[in-house]
Amino acid sequence: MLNKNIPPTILKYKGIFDIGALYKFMSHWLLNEQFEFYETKYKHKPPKIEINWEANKRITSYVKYIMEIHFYFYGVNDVEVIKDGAKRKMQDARVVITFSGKVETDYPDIYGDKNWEKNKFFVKAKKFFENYIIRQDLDVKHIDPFYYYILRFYEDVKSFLGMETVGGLS
Amino acid sequence: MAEKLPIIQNVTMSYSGLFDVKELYSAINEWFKDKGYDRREIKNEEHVSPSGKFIDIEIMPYKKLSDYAKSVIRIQITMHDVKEVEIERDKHKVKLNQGSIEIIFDSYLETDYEGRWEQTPFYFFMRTVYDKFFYKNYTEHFEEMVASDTREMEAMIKSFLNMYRFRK
Repeated sequence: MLNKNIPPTILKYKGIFDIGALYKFMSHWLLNEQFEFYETKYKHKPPKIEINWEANKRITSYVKYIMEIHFYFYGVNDVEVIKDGAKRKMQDARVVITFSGKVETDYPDIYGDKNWEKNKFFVKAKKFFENYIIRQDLDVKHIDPFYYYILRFYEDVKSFLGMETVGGLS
Repeated sequence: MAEKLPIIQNVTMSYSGLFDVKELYSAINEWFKDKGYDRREIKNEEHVSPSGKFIDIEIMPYKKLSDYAKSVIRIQITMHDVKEVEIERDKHKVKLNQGSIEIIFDSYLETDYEGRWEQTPFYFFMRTVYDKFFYKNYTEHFEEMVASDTREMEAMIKSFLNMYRFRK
């Protein structure tokens, strides 16, 4: 199994925003993009919230994208703001969101078995296959596009938070 | 592990006055895209406070020059007290930002970025001999390319910010 890690990108924000709306926005984004996602950690100890997500998408029968998102909210205080003439409950908080990912090959099936690890011949064949036959394909067709895919998500989150530095992926 | 050869280190630039954060950010990204660099954003931080926004960005785009060497430019942009202001230009109201910026440029040439020449001591020895005697001209040429890209980037940002200084 080849695990090509994608370098993490960190987003930090301090200001007034709606944590619930951010949560919904990000989960809908992943679901719209046909990711299966799991919340592997949810720790709420006011004024801190820590959440881990793992989202994965099967691209081919051999390649799978895995996106890992770690949220750390701290200094969370509820505030009431008037937005578009209506009172809304939002949070004055700091958040650190880390986006990272990896491209996994020969991922396990639902029973946890890997097709290319059934015998020694397949293990060697897979090594040869990944190092010499599809190496460029993995880089060009999967690792780079997946990195830009994560960046697109990152840009959308920045835009949702109303950050100044958006639009770098034009 | 890849070897990093510093080319330009700690070149700083500062500016205070009117500018457009979004346009500056887009201009930098566009420039890198035009030059064939792959985007890599390490960190993007924004704090909203009554005195204005604090923005801290670290980007590290890279370009593969060959299978062996790649050019990496690291830019750290820190903005303080960024506020939104409205000015009148050519009888039109334009929204801009006002604040101060500090930019730090570093660039380096990364060789053997896939770590292929470090698998055995013999390979490592061969790589050093190759670098010193056979590949020297190429390395020098790559170093010039990295330095020239960094200087061009710096000049682009300078002219971008000067544009706001003189077009008030």
